[in-house]
Amino acid sequence: MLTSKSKFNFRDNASTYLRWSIFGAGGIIFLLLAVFILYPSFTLVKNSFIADDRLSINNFVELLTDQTTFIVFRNTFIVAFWGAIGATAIGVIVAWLLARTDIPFKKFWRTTLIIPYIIPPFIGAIAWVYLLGPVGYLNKIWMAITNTFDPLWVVYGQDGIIFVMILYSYPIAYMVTLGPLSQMNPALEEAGQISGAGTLRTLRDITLPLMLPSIGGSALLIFMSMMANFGIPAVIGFPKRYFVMSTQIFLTILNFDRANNLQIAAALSMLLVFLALFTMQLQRWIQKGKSFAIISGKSSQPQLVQLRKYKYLAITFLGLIVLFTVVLPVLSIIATSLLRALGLPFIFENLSFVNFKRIIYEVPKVRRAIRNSFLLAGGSATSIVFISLIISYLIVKIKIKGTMVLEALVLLPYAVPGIVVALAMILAFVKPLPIVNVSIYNTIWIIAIAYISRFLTFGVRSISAAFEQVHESLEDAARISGAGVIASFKDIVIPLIRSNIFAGWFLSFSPALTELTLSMLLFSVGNETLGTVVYGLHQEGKVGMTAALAFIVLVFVVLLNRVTIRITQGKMGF
Amino acid sequence: MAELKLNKLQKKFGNVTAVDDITVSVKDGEFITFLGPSGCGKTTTLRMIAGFIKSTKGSITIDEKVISSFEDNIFLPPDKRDMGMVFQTYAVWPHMNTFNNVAYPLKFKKYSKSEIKERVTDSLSLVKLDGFEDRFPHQMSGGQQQRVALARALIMEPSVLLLDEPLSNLDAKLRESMRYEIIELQRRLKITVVYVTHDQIEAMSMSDRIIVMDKGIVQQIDSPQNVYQYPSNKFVADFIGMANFLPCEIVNKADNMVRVKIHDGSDKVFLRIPVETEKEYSKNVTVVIRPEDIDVLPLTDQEGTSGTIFRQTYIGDRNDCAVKFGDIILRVHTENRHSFKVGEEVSLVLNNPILLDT
Repeated sequence: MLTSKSKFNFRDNASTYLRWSIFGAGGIIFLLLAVFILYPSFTLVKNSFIADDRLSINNFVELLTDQTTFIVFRNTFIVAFWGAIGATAIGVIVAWLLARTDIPFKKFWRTTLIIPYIIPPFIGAIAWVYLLGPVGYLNKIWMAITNTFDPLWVVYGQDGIIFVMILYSYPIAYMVTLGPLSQMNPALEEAGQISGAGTLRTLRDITLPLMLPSIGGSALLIFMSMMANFGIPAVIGFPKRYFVMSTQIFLTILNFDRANNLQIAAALSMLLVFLALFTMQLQRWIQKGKSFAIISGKSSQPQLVQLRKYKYLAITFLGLIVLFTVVLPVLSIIATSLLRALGLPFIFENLSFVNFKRIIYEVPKVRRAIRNSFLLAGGSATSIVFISLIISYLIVKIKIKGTMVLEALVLLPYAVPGIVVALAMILAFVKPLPIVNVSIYNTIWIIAIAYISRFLTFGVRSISAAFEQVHESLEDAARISGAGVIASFKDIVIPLIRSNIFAGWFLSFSPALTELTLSMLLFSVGNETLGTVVYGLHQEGKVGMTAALAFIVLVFVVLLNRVTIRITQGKMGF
Repeated sequence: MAELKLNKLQKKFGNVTAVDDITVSVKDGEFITFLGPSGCGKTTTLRMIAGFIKSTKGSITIDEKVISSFEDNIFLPPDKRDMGMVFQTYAVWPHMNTFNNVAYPLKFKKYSKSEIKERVTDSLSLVKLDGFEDRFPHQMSGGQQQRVALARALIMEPSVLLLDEPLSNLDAKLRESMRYEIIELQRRLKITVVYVTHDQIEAMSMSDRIIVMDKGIVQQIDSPQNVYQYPSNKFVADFIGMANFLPCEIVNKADNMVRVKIHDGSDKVFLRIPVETEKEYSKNVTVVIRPEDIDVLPLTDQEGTSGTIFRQTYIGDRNDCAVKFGDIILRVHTENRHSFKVGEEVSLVLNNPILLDT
């Protein structure tokens, strides 16, 4: 018998080689995740149990016996609770109007009503300070009209936080419920009507109950994101000394005079994480109940409700939302950025581009921040894509053991509030790295690591989805055609998932570019980012320059969104 | 020249044995079909031949050259096996046009541009897709995509062509015409074909030999005629065509003929069945009779075998009857000219009985 044993021995054939490369890749990924995610998480937990360099539960005792903790907890809950209710109500109504009624100009509403989702919340908050701050435009107009010195309403404090949060998170509820609403099997409602229920009755008895799992799920999603939000309570809460968990952790970290301040912040973070993970579990549990078979799978269109005389009411409602979320805030930013000096009347002679000139030419940290943010976002997005390619391949194609652990590990830095991730990074990297003895603390690298950890889930989700769509037989066909493992990956897999690779890149790039929370705790002089500089200018009271830079950021964000839509042919982006 | 041999091939997934102890040798130019219900191990076997799965025992050889052997630690990856394969899902690459799909296997051999063009043109005309070079998969029907897959599998003139349920995604009419086209191609190219299907009509109409599989084990390897007329066991008889199973007892055996008594409750009906002289049978056996091998006649002779019409369904080309015969209910296909009343007593003639050792 002619055996080709010597030539195709088990030890040196391609598939053994492949197996070792998979082991190698898996090992590198594990090492990265261990350094970027596991080690910081572990350090955070450990530090929460360390007081005066000894293992103890004193931090928790101190927190739980302190009145402030309870006030902050209550504040967080109130803000997130009412915010979630308000945002969900608005989002569901908007989704229903667009999916199930004959409201005119649907295409226009669909594109404009989603814009608040891509505006960084802290910039929305700053805009609302321009509008409803003590000397905000709306308050000044009010004072002029009523001829008094009493403002209409000052946005600072609890109600303002809830208000701004609602404006910038209702799109979550809108997006979550739009799908089920527009794909709902029309027969379900028709059966209600044939049984004698009118339009309103059908809505109440059939549509709404069927939608409850989606509505509940999106409410919890919003609750979570509000609990974690840092930008809005920082901009609107600080002036009135109104604190929530995220801002309280921030202040504790910066309170160097307090003994064990980092450790107490870690303990506080543990409490917040516990709450966040609990909500997430609740949300997953509710989403599982989503299995009401309300989606028929056929592309049948549910019938549209005729609004008739309520049409104008509905249009006014949507118009007001666009006015409050987009038109007024953007106008206020543009106006403020163009005003030569704050307080001047809004007439042509007072308008100039001086603020833009000043931030570009006179404030060196602005140019540094633009460069840093683009470098950081680009570098992180690129790293995320490469890491995601390997992780997704291991999860989807190789189906390695421990997939659940890997997925949970990737999700963790996004599931917990950003301020907690930032603290974990500080605690993990404040000392020089072992073995190599290099410190990345106070360098741009710690920000990069934080961004990669935080936004990795976007890359993995986007690329995993793509791998799942590449049927195994497409690769098999290449192999039997004579292509080796590498060639089949290069010729077949990569071209087929190319658009998702770009999508994953932009989905990580966009939030990284305007990131605030992580950067606020991790930046140092020379390593400023766009978010920290906008916030810094705002805190310094340089109103015109803040507005100018905020406007530039908005332009970046809108352009990026267009590019994402273009590249993914509308599958991603808003 | 390509003779394919599977020798004691086995595949275990963990504790589950998907395929066990398959030994078969496929002659050069033979069309052989693995037939069986889903989960019988036919696709696993095909994927072992292709090199997508490593066997956990046994070996595979092509023309005496070992391409896979568990015992000798030999395993040739799929790209080194010189085979062509058509997949159930076609697996035509959506990002390449027809030309690039079909030309892809040539990329790994040294061919000049003009040679590549020539061979692609030839291969496409072989599957009657002349002029489709620039079309993308989404611009073609399922049948056309299937032809692209076939052209791609044939372009390297592979030693063995593997077909994994290639017709199961096509509609009924197209399936039938593709069946004849594939046979015609195979006869013309004199290529060795290994075909996998769960469809007995495909298997019967296309194959030189059929390998009937169940639960990972080969049940019978034989020509389509023999698999139908002389099934080796109950599974084969039941899986291919329809079958009535009659519990019987051998009353005597002489040379090449046995006499059996049917356990129908009355124990009064006897059948004579030709058998191989040397073969020994146990006392209790099963006799298989196909529905079309039973004649139903108006009751004439009280002494003969008789039954009662229990149910009758008109299907167009025949009547599908259920006839109560003692304790047994027989499926009978009668010509549509004869129609009986339900409850009517009829005479039965049982032709072509097949004896199975139980």
